[in-house]
Amino acid sequence: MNDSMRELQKVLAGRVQELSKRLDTVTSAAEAGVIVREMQEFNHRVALAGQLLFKEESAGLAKSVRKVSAAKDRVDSAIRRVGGLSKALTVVGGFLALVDEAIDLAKELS
Amino acid sequence: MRRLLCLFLILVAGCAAPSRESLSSFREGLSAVQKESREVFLDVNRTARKAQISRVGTLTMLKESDVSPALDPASLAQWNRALEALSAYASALEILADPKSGDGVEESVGKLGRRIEAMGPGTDELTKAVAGLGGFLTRSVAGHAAREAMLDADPHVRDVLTRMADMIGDGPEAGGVRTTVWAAWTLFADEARKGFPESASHEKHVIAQTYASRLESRDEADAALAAVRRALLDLADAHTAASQGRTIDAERMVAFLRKQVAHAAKIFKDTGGDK
Repeated sequence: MNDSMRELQKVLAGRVQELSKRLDTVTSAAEAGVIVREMQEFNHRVALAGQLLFKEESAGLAKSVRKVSAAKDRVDSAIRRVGGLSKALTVVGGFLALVDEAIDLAKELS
Repeated sequence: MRRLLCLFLILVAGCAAPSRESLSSFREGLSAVQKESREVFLDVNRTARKAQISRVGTLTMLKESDVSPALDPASLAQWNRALEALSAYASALEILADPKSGDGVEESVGKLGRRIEAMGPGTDELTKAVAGLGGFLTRSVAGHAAREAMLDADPHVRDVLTRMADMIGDGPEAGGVRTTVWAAWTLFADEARKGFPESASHEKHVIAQTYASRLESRDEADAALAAVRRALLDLADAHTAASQGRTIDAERMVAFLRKQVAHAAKIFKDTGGDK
């Protein structure tokens, strides 16, 4: 669907460019006015096709974005895991300091 | 056990982790694209509206589709949501790769080391080593996790950014937003010259000037869109590079993008496109 819409827009835009080229050889203002009016009609349809194409492609984008959001969730859980490791190392350090103090105290009491 | 620990540390340290600078650069690039694309898309809609208004003189009845925006609000919201999702992901990576994450561990393990040091001489180096090891371990695990997450996410990040680049279009003839804008400016330029064949000599000068100026505007508008497209593709490459531990510098890309968009916006306003 997106490819067909893109092709359609390309064909319509190609027609605008052809008409613009024809204007290069025109010698009367009336004839130029007719060509410009035809260009306005084709240009309007180029914009409509572009609008539909952008709409469809943005809908397709939503599906891909969900995968990025899932990747963000994985990073968040890695942050939590690293936080857990950091906490564990700190707790071990604190625990060993406590053991050390207990040994000191035991030495003083003995 | 000691050998296993050494092997683990060598493996973890051997894989270059993404640097925080590269991740910040990536996030700043996304933020610039979001801001500049908003500006450019506003101009796209103004351009399309101007073309619609120039056409209505020939219509007998006005329909909604005759004046509907080239880029509708729902699609633009989806565009912004994509950039916000990428920014949120980049911010989470920055937190994960923060080199300060191991500092707290170093401090508490260091306190323990100082107590050991107080017990006897010759333990100073050991204290530093033990404290440093705790911090290194935390940083290495975080860096490893960031790298793994980025390598896993890389195809999806590239997919989103490439799709967005395609929405803008590979050129004026390739279909997409660039095609819409190019056709509209071609029309504006030709509307300016349609009276040329029967105009007086002094009028011809004015017409030629307007015609040339509108062709220039067409090029500038296209260059601004091309810069947004290029920035999106550069960001995809930047993500891949950062995931492989290579340094990236998005600063130049951001500066180029801002310059192109600002220039196009100025030209657009000068030619009365926002009226």
